Amino acid sequence: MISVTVVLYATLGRYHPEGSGTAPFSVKLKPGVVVDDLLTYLGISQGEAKQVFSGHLSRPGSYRLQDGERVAIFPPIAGG
Amino acid sequence: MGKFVRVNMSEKMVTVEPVPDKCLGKGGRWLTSTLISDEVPADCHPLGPNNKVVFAPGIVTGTSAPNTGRISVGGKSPLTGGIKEANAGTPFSQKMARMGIAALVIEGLVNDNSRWLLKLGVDGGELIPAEDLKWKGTYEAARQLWASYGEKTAFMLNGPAGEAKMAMAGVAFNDTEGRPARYAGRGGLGAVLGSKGIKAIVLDDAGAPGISYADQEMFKEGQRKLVEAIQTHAVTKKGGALNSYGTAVLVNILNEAGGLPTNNFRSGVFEGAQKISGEALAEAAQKRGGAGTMGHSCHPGCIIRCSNVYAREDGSEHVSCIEYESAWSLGANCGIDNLDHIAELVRLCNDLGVDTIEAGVMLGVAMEAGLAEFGDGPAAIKLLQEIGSRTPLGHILGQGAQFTGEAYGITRIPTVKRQGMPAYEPRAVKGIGVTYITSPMGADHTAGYTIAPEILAVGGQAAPLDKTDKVALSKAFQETTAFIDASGYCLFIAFPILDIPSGFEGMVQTINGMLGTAYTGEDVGAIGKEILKMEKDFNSRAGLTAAADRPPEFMRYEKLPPHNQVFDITDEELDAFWS
Repeated sequence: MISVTVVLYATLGRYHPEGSGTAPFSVKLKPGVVVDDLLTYLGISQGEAKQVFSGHLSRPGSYRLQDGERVAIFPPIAGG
Repeated sequence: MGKFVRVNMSEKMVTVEPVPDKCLGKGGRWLTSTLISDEVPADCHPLGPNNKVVFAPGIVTGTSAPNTGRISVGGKSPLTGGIKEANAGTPFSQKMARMGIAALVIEGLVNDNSRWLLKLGVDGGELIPAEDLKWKGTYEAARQLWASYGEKTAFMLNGPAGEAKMAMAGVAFNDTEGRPARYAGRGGLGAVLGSKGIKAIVLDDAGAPGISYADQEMFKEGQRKLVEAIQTHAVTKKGGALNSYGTAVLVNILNEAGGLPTNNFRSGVFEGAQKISGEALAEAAQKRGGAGTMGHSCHPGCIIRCSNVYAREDGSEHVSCIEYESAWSLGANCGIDNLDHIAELVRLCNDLGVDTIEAGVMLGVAMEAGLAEFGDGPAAIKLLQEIGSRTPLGHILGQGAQFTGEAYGITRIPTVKRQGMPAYEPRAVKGIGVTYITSPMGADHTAGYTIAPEILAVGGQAAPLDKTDKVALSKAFQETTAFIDASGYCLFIAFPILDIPSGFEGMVQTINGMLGTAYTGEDVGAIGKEILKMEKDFNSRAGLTAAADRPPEFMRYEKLPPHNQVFDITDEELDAFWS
């Protein structure tokens, strides 16, 4: 198993295991999982998650997660 | 149709004239830049008798279409030395449009340091001595104006920084509850009004003729499509990101992308980002209760409602509004992660009448110079108070980031054309760097918001660190933006209309329904291009050559963590923007 730290921003906070919020939490996953698998695991539909960042880069759904990685997930957002 | 109101401050005369043929059908930035280009000698002193300040509502401002409450303010900028258009969302613009005033032009100069209030009604206008408002902060002055003229009036206020002719002075308009909190902030136009002795403008729209449409059916059809796009798009719909968290919802994503300028543009990552984010603002509003709220609107008819009111711990109102730009400039850029300190800094900016972006960039440079430690909120508050006290130091700081850096021998000054950079790091997001550098306005994110595709995956997708095609991307955004700035629509309609074609079509239909024109989507870009060219020509005549279209030198050699990149779009590539 690998361990990934997850941060859920904005409206996605409602998928937090403790009910809501942006506090980081850890999940255990099978080696070889990709971003899309993580979203499925968290119960977030792909339409709800617009952007996934790790290592300060936006990652596609096919990006393979590494042990110890920190992943930030965003819904559609904008501002200015 | 419509009229121009001209106010000559040398003669203390108010005159009304019909809109000349050349200006018919123009509004907002299109009109302010046309008038400044035609009537202001480009080489004039910005604070001298030959500069003018032009106020113009947009083409569809005051109509029933959503999010149309923008007003453009134009002039020659004392900060950049070039042409300036700054805009704000406020009921002032809507009243002005319904009164049939296409443009208000302030000309001439007072020579006796007197202060004046301009009162405009449907029958004309008058200049009223305003010595009682002299040096008053905008909050107290706002209270006085509504007490004297009634809460149905709209107002513009020039703060003490503008009266002292400081180059970071913005122009304040009222929000829906009478706060002097909606700013055409950038470029120091408050200083130009200060040179002309204008402290306040009051609009009384009683008996106003209202709006007439060339083709109301077409207008309504366009309005319906646009409303549907705004209400459907995930970003702008009710309960969406902008409505729930405000514009500061961007803090975390820019931080995750390594593009949130921190400690005077030394890093793209801020440890305290989450504490100053839109999520933190929403949490404070919920926990503290009282006056605090998200989903506030800056003008009637806004259906996005991205503004907010921030409350103190006891629930009393501290300030409206904490925007992304302000949370960043007065927060991350100064290493400050305390929202209460940021709220006080925003309140001070509003009260003094200064642009929060320029103020925060200046404070970052001042911290670099050792005037305060990064992260020290109370020390930043004291520095801003120097501006209000008009001490010699306050006069230096009030001239903005570039002037302050020069005064203290600093080389890391994040400006273009002497205007402070907004909340996106050009070394981590290359396209927005092109916008900062090439915009005739100086460093201005709103001029061509390539952040949409580069960071937010709205309106397409472009890799932020890749410089390929970023000049073309910025150019396309700048052209479309110039048109939206002319229309009177809030720039945030761009998010839904970039993604939903019927929304874009609806926007164009409302313009055609208003004017009786037959503009197409292609005309949007063509008109935008014409506006940009006019502004560029003014700047060339003012002496801003290709040498002004350059990044600050340190961004060429100082690698920005975490991506460890420099700004690598070459001078030749930048010059291709205008070829």
